[in-house]
Amino acid sequence: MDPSLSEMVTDGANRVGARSEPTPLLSFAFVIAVGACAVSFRIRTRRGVLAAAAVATATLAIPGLSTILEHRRDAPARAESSSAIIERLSERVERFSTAHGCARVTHSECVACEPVVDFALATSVACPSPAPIVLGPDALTATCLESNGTLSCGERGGR
Amino acid sequence: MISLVRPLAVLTASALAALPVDHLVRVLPRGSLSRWPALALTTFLACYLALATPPLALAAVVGLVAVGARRRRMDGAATEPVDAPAYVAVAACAAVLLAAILFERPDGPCFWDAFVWLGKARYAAGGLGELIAGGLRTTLPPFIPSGYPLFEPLSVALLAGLSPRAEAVVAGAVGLEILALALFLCALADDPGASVRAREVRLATATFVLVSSPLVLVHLRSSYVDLPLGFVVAALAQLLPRRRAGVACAVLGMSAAALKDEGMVHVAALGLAGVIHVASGGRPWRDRDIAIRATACVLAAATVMAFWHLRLHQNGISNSDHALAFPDWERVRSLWGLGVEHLLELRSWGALGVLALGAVSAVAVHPRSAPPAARWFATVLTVDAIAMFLALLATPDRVMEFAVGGTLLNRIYMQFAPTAALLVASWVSAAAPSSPFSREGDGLQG
Repeated sequence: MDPSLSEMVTDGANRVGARSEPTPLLSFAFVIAVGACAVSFRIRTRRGVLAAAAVATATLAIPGLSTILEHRRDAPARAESSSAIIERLSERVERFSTAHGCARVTHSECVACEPVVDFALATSVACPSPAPIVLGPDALTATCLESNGTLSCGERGGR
Repeated sequence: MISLVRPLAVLTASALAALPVDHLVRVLPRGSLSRWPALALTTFLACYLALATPPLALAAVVGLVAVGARRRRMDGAATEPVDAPAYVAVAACAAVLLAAILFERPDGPCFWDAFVWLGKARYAAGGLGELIAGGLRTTLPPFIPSGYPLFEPLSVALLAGLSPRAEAVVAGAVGLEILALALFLCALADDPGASVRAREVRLATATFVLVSSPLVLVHLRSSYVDLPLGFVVAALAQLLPRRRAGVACAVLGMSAAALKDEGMVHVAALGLAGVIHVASGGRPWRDRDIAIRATACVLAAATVMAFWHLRLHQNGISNSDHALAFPDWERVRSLWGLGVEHLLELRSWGALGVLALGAVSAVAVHPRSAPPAARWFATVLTVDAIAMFLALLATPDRVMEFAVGGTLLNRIYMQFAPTAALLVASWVSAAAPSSPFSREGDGLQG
């Protein structure tokens, strides 16, 4: 499974990038921000202090902005493909559940798939014998196969 | 790019539907920008209360009618025109933030909790009453955590036109986010005690501070509830010191408590901050009305929360994650360390954490030279942060596991971000070159 897609689902809204991971860009931004603060002490005018603070604020935002605009799987250029992959699993599970009355996950090795499947099953009505869904570790990005009334997604499905 | 036609249409319809209520209640002065988003929120809240707590809804209607009738007698046909530049400034700042919300936003949910919240909204497509009844019967799908307030999914489902389609519920969530954002920006622009220049500087600064915080941009493009809750809390912090905003404060307080359980902590902290402000002889708002408004707001929010939890309790449902006990003081050190580590995480927050700490410290060191608005927001942030810290100490061990795992504290901070931006903006507006560094024009009602 693509690890960054899985990380986006499980941790994407909790932080922008990996914690405690210094990068040259982060270090550079920090130096510029400190420099701007030092300059503001020399200027001693309100306009100068505000300008220096604005520069420092904008500079410190650059490493995080760079991550969310370029590197993450939800970055503008990659968001559509990421969303399409997730939507494919969601729609497949929903179709399967509708066809069998209802469904539930009986085995899962894909943590990031859990909320996606839950979202897909949110409209299904409870029934006496839910059709089983099996999720392998790469289920988020792999295709799903239906056999003997079971939907298997990922490796465990014996693709 | 998702379609915004549906949420915008529903928002407009909600505002129009609320017009008769507006004439009766006069939530905000006529001509006020804030009144439209406030009325839309009032409509959703009325729906939620009617479905979740019918007796409380009835009492609220009776109370609002009484307040509205009294106010009508007192105010007559008072009108307060709004300065045209404020509209322009709101439109410009809203455009920047809306662009951040909508710019190449993914078509569907992408993050864990977004699936959960929007899953509830999809479930509500089967009927709003069914969502509430299901939540009380534990017959919500087993994967949807029980015991959580259902105001957000109910509002999203309404904005989605009760469609279970993924695009529709995402659009509904965007609509709710825009509504909360509009409340925040309009409350900022409507400040009757501030000069137009001060309002514009504050709007621009608050917007700049928010969009230069990368994690805020992530949440603007997600469907989490933390940032909308933060916008509602910040709007409440702005309205609380203003005269004639009591009903609006009560609506915002109830909404915050109904959005998330943390909302009640924020509202209680705001109430306490109001009382502290008056007790300490805070200028320029010496009148006791702030304390009265704050107390009424807390009582309204607490009533909504208490009724919901009473119904949960009667049906044998509990939210074990949010069950409070005696504070575990042994957690203080680790929680403090985690809090500082998260706050100063530059890649996620940019300079926001540093700016907020600096602005609060500056007020603490030089309270007399601090602008009144900065003193107020610093008091709010400090009391709120202490209250949330104590609440986290009193939560079950599982919540601490979330904190250590990194899935909790940044989301809590997200709820503080708009108020922190207000604090920074109030300092900047007082220090802006063409604005005299004086109390005059500082605003938040002099």
